Amino acid sequence: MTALLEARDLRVTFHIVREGDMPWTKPRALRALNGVDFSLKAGETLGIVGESGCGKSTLARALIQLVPATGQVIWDGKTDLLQLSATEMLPYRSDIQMVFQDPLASLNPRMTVGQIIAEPLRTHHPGLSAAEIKARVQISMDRVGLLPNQINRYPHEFSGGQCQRIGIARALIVEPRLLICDEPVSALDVSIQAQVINLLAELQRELGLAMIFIAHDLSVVKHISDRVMVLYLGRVMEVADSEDIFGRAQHPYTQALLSSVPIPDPVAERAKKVIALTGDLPSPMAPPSGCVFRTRCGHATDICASDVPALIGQGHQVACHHAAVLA
Amino acid sequence: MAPTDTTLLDVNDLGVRFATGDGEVNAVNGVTFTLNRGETLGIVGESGSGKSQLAFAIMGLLAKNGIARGSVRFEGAEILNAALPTINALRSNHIAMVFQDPMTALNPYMRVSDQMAEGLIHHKGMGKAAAVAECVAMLDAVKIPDAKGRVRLYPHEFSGGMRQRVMIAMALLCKPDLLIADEPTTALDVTVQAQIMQLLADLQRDLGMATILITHDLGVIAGFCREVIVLYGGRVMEQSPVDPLFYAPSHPYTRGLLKSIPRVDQQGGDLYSIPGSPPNMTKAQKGCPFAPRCDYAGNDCRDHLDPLVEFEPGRKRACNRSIGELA
Repeated sequence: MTALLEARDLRVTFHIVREGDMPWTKPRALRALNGVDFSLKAGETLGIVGESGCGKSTLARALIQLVPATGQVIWDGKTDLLQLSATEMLPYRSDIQMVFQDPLASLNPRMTVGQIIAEPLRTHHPGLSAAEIKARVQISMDRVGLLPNQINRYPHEFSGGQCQRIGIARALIVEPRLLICDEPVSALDVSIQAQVINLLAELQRELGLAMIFIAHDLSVVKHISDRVMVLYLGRVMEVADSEDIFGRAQHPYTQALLSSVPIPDPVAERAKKVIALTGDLPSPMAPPSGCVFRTRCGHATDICASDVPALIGQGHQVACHHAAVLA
Repeated sequence: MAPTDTTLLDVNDLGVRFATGDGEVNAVNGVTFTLNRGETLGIVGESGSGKSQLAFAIMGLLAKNGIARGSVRFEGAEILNAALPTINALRSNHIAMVFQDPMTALNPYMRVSDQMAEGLIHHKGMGKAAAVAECVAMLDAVKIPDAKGRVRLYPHEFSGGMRQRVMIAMALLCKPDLLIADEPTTALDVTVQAQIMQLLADLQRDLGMATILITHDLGVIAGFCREVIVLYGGRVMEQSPVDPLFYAPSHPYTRGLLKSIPRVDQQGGDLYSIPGSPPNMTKAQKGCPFAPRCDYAGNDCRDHLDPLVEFEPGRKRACNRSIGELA
């Protein structure tokens, strides 16, 4: 089966001009994504985890040309999305929809819920009659658990969890094949978070959606993902089935990340051994040579400083010189 | 519990009200607890549960429109609504606070050395040079590399985790008897969170200071606290030592909350989700704030809530239903 979406050597570089730089000072390069490869099958959920600054949000944006990227993003085995102009890209945008982190900020405060949810339909299917649009808005609202009488309300009248439902209804109305969720539950309270996670999982099963689920909370990612990709400083450290990542992590960074997650169980939490990472995340403007993780890794040797480890393996892929020993 | 000589903080029937344009908000209602020297107390709740306002009321930091009632005794002396000189003598010297967002809690215009030394000069009457030397020693203790060189920097020159370390160092400078940490790791990545919580646990043990940890993360509570208070809608739902709270929660809200957290050490499946959303605190409440979302609520729950009573040695709950009725 061909992949629904395949990213090859995806790179995003931001040019940073700092205050005080002279007009002739060369802007410094911040490599937010540095050669990321992955593929996503239809109906599959790929979780993307990593700490702030690792490039997870940039990755989501790069896939749909919200930030300029180089490399290839092959859609459906045929089209390279990165080569398309804005007009050529338009039909693909209804196939790929996005749900954003801040539920209230991603909704226009001056539009009613009905108008917000209908907007993608007006853009992608301008020929539809008002009655058809209304019918489809109602179906979409029903699907995410919004009540029909809420159609004329404004976003500020809703709680955070409800706003996230509106955002999801808006994304689903054009019947996308891929839903990109960028930290969809991190702004929500624990009791509301569970509602939205269950909703996304249910929609994914019912509609056969593929999903890219970005979050910094590993427990949430574990819960919803088929496969998980771990990013660090713009590079892929490890990709594997969710069970393998959470049960048999091979990369020292993944192992450290997993050991840091607090467990809501006092006995397990007290017995847990945290693999402490020393120091801070290096600046992405001056990443370490070789393996980017080596400055904080307890297993680093000379080869880690000189050679960039390739992402190797079948199914369970790891980018580490010592993966065989550490597994 | 009757206050004894080991009692450090004795909070009795504490209430916090705010006069707002939308009417009166009862942020905290009738909170009672005692904290012994060297103990760790966790206060857990969702946004709007009143957990931060509770801390602000103790510290005398309420906003101008806030009114605190009840009693807060520190080492036997009443400190709630105390005159500014009285409370200033306690702050930092005896009670110190670590805030959620280190970037907004630190003064961006002051060097770290200057803002840290301020407290020592003010409370201990130390000279500037001696105070700065003390600051460097404390920054060393919270494991900031090259503390001597970095003490002269401004807050923006530190990373998020380092800034939180600066805040903690600042809070500990006068060796307080009580540390109140309000969501100290919420803004941080998990690996940094693990470092900071380890640091807090080590310092708490070494200095023997009582600590109140306010958080929404039950995983953090599980690892750090001996005693836990669960707040919902400004009221205490349950108070218990940490182990029985997690293994035999006595309140429907605590049970729902624990079931709705995805766990990194367990298999997935659909999460339990508490229906509905947290209460709107501007509406006057009579009964149990959790009643609209509770599976066990009857009509009586909307009108009144039984007071917090001890049902087992050391454990208290506020619920109209007996534990036997919560099948």
